[in-house]
Amino acid sequence: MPHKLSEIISWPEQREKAKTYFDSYGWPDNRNEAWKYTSLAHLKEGKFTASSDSAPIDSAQVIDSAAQLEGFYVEISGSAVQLPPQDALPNGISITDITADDNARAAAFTHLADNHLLPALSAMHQTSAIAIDIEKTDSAAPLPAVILNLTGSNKEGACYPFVIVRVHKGAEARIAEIHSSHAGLSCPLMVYEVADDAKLQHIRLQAEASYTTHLGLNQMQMGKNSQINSFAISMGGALSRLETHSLFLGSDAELAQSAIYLGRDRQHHDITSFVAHEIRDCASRQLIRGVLDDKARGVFQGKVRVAPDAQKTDGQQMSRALLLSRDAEADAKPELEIFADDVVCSHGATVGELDENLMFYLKSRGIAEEDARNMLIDAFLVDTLDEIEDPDFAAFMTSQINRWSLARR
Amino acid sequence: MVATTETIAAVEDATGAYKYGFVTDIETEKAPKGLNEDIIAFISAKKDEPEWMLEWRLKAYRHWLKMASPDWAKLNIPAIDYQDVYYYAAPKSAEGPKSLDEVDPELLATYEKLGIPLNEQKMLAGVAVDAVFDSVSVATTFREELAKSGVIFCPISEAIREYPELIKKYMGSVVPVADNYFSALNAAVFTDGSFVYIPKGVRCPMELSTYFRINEKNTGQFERTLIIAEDNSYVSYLEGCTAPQRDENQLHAAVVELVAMEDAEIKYSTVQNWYPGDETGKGGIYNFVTKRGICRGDRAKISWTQVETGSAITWKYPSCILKGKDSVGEFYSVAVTNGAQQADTGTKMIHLGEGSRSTIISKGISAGKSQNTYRGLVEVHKPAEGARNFTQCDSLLVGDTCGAHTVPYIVSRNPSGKIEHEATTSRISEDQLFYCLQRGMDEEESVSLIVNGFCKEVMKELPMEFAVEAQKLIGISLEGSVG
Repeated sequence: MPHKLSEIISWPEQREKAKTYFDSYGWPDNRNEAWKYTSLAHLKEGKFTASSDSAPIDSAQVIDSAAQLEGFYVEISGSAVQLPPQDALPNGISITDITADDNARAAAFTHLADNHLLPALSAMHQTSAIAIDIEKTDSAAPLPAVILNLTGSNKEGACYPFVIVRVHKGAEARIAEIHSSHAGLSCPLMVYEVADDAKLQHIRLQAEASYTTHLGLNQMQMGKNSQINSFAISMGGALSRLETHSLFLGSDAELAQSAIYLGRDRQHHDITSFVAHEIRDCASRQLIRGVLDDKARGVFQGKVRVAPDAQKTDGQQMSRALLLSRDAEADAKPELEIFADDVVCSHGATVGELDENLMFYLKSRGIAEEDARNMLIDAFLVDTLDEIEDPDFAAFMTSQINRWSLARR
Repeated sequence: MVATTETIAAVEDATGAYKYGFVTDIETEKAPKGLNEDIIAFISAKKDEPEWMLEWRLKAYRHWLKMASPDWAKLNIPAIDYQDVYYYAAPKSAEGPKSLDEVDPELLATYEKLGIPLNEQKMLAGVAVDAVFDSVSVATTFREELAKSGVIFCPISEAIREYPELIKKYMGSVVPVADNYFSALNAAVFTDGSFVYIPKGVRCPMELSTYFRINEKNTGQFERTLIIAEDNSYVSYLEGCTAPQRDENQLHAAVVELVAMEDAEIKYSTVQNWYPGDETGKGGIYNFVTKRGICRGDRAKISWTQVETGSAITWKYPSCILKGKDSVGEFYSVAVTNGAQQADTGTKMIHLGEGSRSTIISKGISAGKSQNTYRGLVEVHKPAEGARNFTQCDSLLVGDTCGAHTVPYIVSRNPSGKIEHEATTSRISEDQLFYCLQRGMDEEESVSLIVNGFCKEVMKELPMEFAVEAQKLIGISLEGSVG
């Protein structure tokens, strides 16, 4: 996945390039190595273009899905955007609509992968673009969270929201993404630029409509001595793919990036991550868990690349999938690509059902079968939730998983 | 792993300076260069093949024409001109030698340089050799002794004439004609290889061995091996490969098929030491091989062990189709790359049978400017109730200009299947080192002990006959780790 580190090209040029690329690439199917387990062939006949509807934001729904999260809400529904008024925001946070600002949009694309489907789709169709800047403040108290609420649109439409979050030098940001779109096709693109000595606490919840095709890309760019703590849950949509591209651009940076996918019925969840250790002395740690029920299918593809100069890299990755039904399927393709010799890198992957011995242990203690099962499923997920540093975020994500578990029972 | 000068020297010694780069000067009979239906008919005629075999070859060739060379591997393969290759070359004087005495002395001398003097082989307990020199099996030893227990071990060209029923039944049953680009090419133009048949209840009395060698300039070697183990039988098969030094790249596209029936076991070991090209990447063998075994019967077992040190480019995935109930597949591999070598190798374990189990142990050592990739597939299908897989891939890098990559593919369609994959690329663990030091060992000793373990799991699977090459490899891993 080549990432360009080149100069900015103008927005119309960017868009033209994307169009040329898409015209030759098209919607990939499983003959394409990067989409081997997740075919987008069904989009070939799709009529999805950029959604033109500017449906008013359904605030009731927003409150329902994100009621527990305190902070400033940015509402994005198709091309309709509603920002908190600037004067309500505390010092250190500024939020700008850059939909009409071609220069800002072009600049935000600097480090995105060239010749890649998701940035190309965004460049071609972007329905809205927002920039969030977090600056270091004098106050000791942490800044409130910014909550991106991505909703709206209709079954026939597609939405392509774009958000760039710039966490400036030494600042600490808390950002939550809540995806609850009702579009036929939802293609959000998020870029996080975390500058030197800055820190990002990040969660992402994908709970979109049962018919939605979700193609999300989260790009993380990390400066020297920066830290990211990121956690994603994919539980909505008919077919969902979350790609995370994490780029180390300065030394001594640390990335903790975990994800859970929860699938039932005929859902298809794909988590595809790419961590690029381009610089020495950085660490990445990834935990991925999947629970699959009914006829759901889960895919994890995780590539860790260590460039020739990235000595002393510490790259750890562990993915585990739990199959709850005879008809569920789990596919995994973890990948290590290592060009430096003095590194500690490992990945692990397991697929299986609930451990019979553990079930027996619980049942022998008088716990009913169904309860024992649920306890073990919860236990399977809980060690990843411990990865979330921010207590509010952790509580929110835990409640989402509980909601899913309860609905399953 | 930080490289020391001795390490690099040790690796170069084993893989760099190629000791087998001599050319045997004997007359050979070649078909004209290029590939078309006439050449295939020529090969078939030369081999005295029945009509159905020619049809089979032509069918494969017509498929091949419609196929494209695979491009998914992490390999940089220069375009190959398939019309610039000789598809048939046979030593002229080697038409059906009855015994070793009739074999051209030059040929025998070549083998002696390779370290497998056939005359001595007879005295070595328990090894029969079917030597393939370019395209024709030159001599087959110990056949009579094997025949006593009902074991058939002969060149495949002979098997096509003598045992057409077995060939018709099994050839192409594991690797279908149009399975992939290189296997289709092989099916069209294969010139020789080995055929092994172990009847019911027979434990093959000795280890079977074949040494492949590419000699003539610009020839591709397309050998085809078929091993059938009937119910409750056992065979261990050894394969070694060397090629002389050439500036041009040479193509080696082999197909190996294994069939294991109920309670049968096939153990297939390879030491692959083809010429790897020079440090700049000039010359060397392209080793594009399809190896696949099927455990047809319940409790059948197929075990692949490979030590890969040669070839400019390796594209090779010895696989097991685990169809029988409780069948077992194993893959043990050590792959060493140096200079400008590229290797993309691994295995496929296809679990179809209930209770089938597979183990994959892969050790990759890369040095110089080489790229070493493990690529493996583990698939658990619906009927494979309770299937188990364990995969471990470890990589060691010597120097900072090489690459070590791991690309496992895991597909699970049965919840009762348990798949575990782990891969590491690291220096020696501090914990292990501490443990050893704390027991009073010095650092050198400790490191040596720990790294000895790095390859041991694979090495211990190798038959005694390959001990020399195997030991050399352990030496490299050891040297590579101290520093």
